[in-house]
Amino acid sequence: MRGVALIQLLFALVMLVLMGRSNWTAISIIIVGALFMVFCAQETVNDERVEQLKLKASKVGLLAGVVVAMLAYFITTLKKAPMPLSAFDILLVTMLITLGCYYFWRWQDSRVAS
Amino acid sequence: MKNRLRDLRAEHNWSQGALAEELGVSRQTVNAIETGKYDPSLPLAFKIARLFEQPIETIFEAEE
Repeated sequence: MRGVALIQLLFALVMLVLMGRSNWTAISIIIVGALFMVFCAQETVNDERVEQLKLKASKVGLLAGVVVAMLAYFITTLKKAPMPLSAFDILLVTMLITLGCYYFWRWQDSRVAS
Repeated sequence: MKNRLRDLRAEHNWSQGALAEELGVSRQTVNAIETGKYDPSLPLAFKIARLFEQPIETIFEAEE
């Protein structure tokens, strides 16, 4: 599943390079889909800790993603240049934060105490 | 919650990976339990107790 997600991300990158931001809606949909696939992919051992961390990361990601999106919109509105945000933009930020949190906590779990 | 998992593992000369395989969890999860970052679920705690043939209360201790 991660392999497919990687191919999707590469495809989105190629689209971005070739078409620029004019087709951002389609590109963001592909990227969000790929990030969801990475998040939902099975770990080598899918144990209870993995499930707990994924749930915790989802909660943090959802909250932080919405806050970041609202802040970005608020700041750009103050500058008289409101940034049009789509749901996929918010999902993109949410998934990036979620995946970041999950893999960071997973890395922390693997660190052996001195 | 404090636990004696690391000591028990050392007594049996098991690596974290070996213990993880016995318990059916990942090495990271074993390390998280040993370092106190994660308290296992009841089924996993019972599994650990059965593996080391000791009562749960002697392995896991609630912190005051």
